[in-house]
Amino acid sequence: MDNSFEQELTQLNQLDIPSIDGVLFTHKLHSSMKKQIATQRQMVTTLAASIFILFLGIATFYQLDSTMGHNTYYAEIESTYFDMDFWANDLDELLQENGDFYYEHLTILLLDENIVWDSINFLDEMNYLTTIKDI
Amino acid sequence: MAECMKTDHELIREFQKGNDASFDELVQRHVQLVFGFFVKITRDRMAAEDLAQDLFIKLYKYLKNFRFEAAFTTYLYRVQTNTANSWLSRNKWKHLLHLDQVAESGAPDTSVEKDWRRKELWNAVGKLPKKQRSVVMMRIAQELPYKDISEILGISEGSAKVNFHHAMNTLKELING
Repeated sequence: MDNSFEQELTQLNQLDIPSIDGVLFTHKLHSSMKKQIATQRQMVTTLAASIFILFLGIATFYQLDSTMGHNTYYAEIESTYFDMDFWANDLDELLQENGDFYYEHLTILLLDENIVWDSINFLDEMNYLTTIKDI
Repeated sequence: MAECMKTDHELIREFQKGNDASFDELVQRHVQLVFGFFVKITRDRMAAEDLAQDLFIKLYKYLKNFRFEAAFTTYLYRVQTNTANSWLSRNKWKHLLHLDQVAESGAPDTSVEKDWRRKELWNAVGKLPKKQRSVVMMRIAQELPYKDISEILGISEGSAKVNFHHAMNTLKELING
């Protein structure tokens, strides 16, 4: 019973197998292997590059983080910077808070705005304040 | 003359020493056998060629560590059966989706009914447990004796026979309904 079924299946599978060109097959095989090796190398390179970029990113983040702690940004002094009624400002307080940085920028702004006399007065006062501070 | 008739083991030894030409000779010696086996399983020339390529790429890697404990053909049959096994498992769903297609055998066999039966057979073989599937492939597609099958699969001859018997019963049920 088994035998006849086995024979039936064996006969069913007796095909005329097409012949294959061994030399051509070998050439194809070599090019496939080269392609596979190239793909593997590409993957390794991509992985290495990703790790390097990640490492660089982390290192840069920590580096920037450590040096940026005490920088004063333009945005932080924006409100007083654009307050043109600078006589109303408490200059002593501002001087203490922002130091020369504030006055340098305010001077530039005043000169840009062509308020020459105000600028001169302001510079005079600055000089006065500085002298007082020195004393 | 003797130079042309190197044994498989001699070729492998040369390959292990770094001579890639020996590997090419080994490939050319066995490619027809491997290709024929895969054509029977896949009924598709292109798929068979792809599987044969996969197999020889695997061999290229593994032969560097070949230990000469058995004949090369034993090793080759084992790898071949495993590759076919994976293909049958991978392509189970394809058979279900393309039941209306006539199989491509690559051979000049024009009998549509035979093609159908063949397709039905390998579709059913794909559903068998791995060991039974391996035995059936070797027995039906390669017509190997039980002794060789047992050696290739590392099982006893009796176990090979029992597995084949069970497989035949299952196949009968699956094919004849």
